[in-house]
Parts: sequence; C-alpha cells; structure tokens
Amino acid sequence: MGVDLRNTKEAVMKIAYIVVFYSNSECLQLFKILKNKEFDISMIATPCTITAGCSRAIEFTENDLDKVIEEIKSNSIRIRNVYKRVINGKSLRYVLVKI
Amino acid sequence: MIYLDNGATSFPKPRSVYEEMIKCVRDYCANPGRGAHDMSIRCDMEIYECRERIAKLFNINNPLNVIFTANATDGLNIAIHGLLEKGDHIITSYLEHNSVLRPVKQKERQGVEVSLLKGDKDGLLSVDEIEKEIKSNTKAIIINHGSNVIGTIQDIKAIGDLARRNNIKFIVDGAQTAGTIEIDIDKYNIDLLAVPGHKGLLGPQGTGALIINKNVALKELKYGGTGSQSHSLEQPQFLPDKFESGTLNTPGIVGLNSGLKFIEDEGINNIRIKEKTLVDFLLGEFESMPFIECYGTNSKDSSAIISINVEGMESSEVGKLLNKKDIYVRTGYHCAPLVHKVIGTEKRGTVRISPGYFNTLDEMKQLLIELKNIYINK
Repeated sequence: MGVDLRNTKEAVMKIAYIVVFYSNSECLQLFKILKNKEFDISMIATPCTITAGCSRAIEFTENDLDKVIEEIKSNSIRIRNVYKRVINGKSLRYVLVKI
Repeated sequence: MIYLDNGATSFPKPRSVYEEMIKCVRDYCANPGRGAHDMSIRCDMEIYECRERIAKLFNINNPLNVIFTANATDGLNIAIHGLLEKGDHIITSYLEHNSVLRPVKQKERQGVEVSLLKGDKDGLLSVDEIEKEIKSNTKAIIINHGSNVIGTIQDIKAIGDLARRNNIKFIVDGAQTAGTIEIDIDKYNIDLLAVPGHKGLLGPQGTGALIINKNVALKELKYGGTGSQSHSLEQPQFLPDKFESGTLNTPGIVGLNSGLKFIEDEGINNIRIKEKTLVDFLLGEFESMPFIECYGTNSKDSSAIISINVEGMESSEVGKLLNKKDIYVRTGYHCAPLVHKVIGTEKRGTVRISPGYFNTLDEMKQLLIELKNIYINK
C-alpha cells in the first residue's frame, strides 16, 4: 500500500499550475480578479527555470485550469504562458500548457 | 490658523490619509513589485487600487495606463520630453506654469517650434485662435486646465475636439483642477493628463500621476529596475513599467488612495460647490472694497483661486502682514511668469487666495477683516 498524498504538501505541488506574466502589474490584475471570485490561488515568485528574473506568477489548482484560462481570455490579460508543474521522483519541471 | 494656500498644496488632508499612511509605514511597507511575500503583495494591491481609482476618476479603461510620478511637473516632463522631437511644433499658452514653460523652453533649444497664445484679458483661449496656429508639423497642444494664478478654466472639451480633428496630441496640465472639476479623458479627447497627488486629490506631497491614453507613443526618460523582465538589460516597453523604474512611493500612494476615496465618498461636485461658494463669497465682498484689485474675474467659470492686490501695496507685504495674523496665502509670481503680462502684474505679482474643501465661511470673513485692517493701517 502506498502513502496517501492527498492532503500533503507534495500532493498539492503535484497538481499545481502556474501562470507566468511579462508584467507584475498584469499579474496583479489577474490575481485581483481571481481572488474576487474566490479562486484558490497564491502569488509566487516566477521559477527561474522558466524566466530568469524577479517577476511574479499565479499558482492555481488543476481543477481551476479551464476557469482560469477563461478569465485570462475574457479580461484580455496579457500573459506569457501557463505551465504545469510536474514532479517525477525528486525532480521538478515545468511543462508548457497549450491554451 | 487659516490656511488659504491650497493652490500650492492642500491642507489639511482627510484624516484617513494620515491614518492609512501611518498604518502602511508601520505595518506592511515592504517593496512593491520586488518580492512574492505577503507584505510586498499587500503594497502592490494597495498601489493597484489607487491606479484603479485614478482610472475611474478620469475615465480610462485600463488602470495600467496610470503612471505614478512624484508630482505634476514630473508627469509633464515625461509627456513633453517623451513626445516631442526636433522639427515638431507645439501650441501652448501664457497661462502655463513653469512646469510646462521650462521643459517647453528646453525643447525649443533642441529645435521644437513653440507658439505661445495670450488669450483674452483673463487668458481664456478661443478654439479659433488655437486653430490659426496649427501647422503641418504641429505635434501637440499643451494646456493648463485651470490657471494657478487667476483660476481661469479653459474649455478643454472644445480644444480636445480641435486636437483630435487635426490629429494633434492633447496634453493637459490638471494641477489645479484634478479632484475638484471633472476631467474626462475620453470625452475631452485628452492624450496625456498630468496631475499632482497633493493638491485637489488630497494625497501627500511626492505623489502624482501621468495618465496615458491609448495609442500615445512616448519615449521613457528614466531607466532602471522595474521588478519585471529582470533578465533583460532593456527597459520594458509595457505600461506602467516603462515609466516607473525604481521603488514607488508606497506610503504616499496609499495616502493618495485614501484621498481619492474621500473624494468618491464626498462627491466631486459637492467639493466643487463648497469651494466655489467660498470663492464667490469673497469675490462678492471684494466688489464693495475698492482698494482690492481682483484679477481674472471676467471668465464665466473659474477654479477656487483668486488673485488680488491691495491698493498701493506690494503683494509680498500683504502676505507678510496676513502671515502675522496666521492667515497663510501665497504671494508673488506663483511660478507662472507669463500670466502676469496678461493681467498687468509684472512688477507686483499678486496675492493668491486659494481656499479648499475644509475652509469655512467664517474664515473668509476673517480674511476680509484682516485685509481691511491692512489697508487702513498701511
């Protein structure tokens, strides 16, 4: 029997998606919209493996993927990309999501 | 104490401005846009809220087109230096503050052609007069919405229409009217609006904004860190980052946001009515005081600014004597040298009385008493 990861940090990390932006202000715009609609999101530093710098990204759950993409489109927020965080053993990578 | 120098900076501010600034500095003032921790994000959210309020007040869709500046002068410099190039022609007026006249003079040295219009005896410009100056290389019309010396309000709707018909950029200096008189960027066809945060918007000093309407290409004047695209050595070209290098004035912007909220709650028209009531009262009383010379009172509309002189007296002397009575006004040229050629006060300057929302009718009555005393005892 394996370990149940459903409520652990590892499990949350496994299913995370992140939106990456060119501009922190656009990140804020989307963050505010999603927060107002009570999405389960958090603002994080953009992983340097995606873009070297000090910009911000928004992390959200897999369940909200379609809804977040819809909000991005309907509010005409300019984003750089959406990535899925994939954990394979101890390695972590970000996979570009086509939207 | 009676403070009547709101044309220079508004005082007092609403109580909430002080409270929110103290709370910011004491509780959460991290660096906005430079981290992903909660304190930094909190600062950014407050700043973004202020952008939204400014966008709403001046009727533009995208809050990211609001650029925070240190004051209106800063915004006007970005607009003038960022837009104009050698060989361009601009039209502006005698009523401008040095915040326009000095950068314009500098551009003139760099090969920009300048037409300066005098307007009528109150400096009021007519659309016909401006239209006659338009040339094939006219790039911009730069107009002070409300004179900081005589309160003359220009018809920026008509001037904006003229600019748009002729594909000329329209730059408005809203230093004396923002927060007290409606400025609708969309309706008035304004391309660039510079406003201070510390006057009618009731925020602290060190704040201001340049609001850039869509499709205005401006060069940046300042380069540096923006918290975005940090891997690149090139300045970001998107708004507001293009013009906001360096750490923003978070406590100031938080205070400005509170000032804007106060204006929303009170209603801009109520603020205008209150200030106009005080000004109209003074002007009415001055009519029965023949030793008071008033300037710029012929316009049908004006902001809450009156310029006067007391017969036979230097403006500075009047200011000094009022100061002794704890009445604070500004005297002299008011950083607007050319308007004095329009109203004939090149040698004297004026005594400027600029009441604000928190002044009372009783304070105006006290001012009248002291002016009478000054004249009698001179």
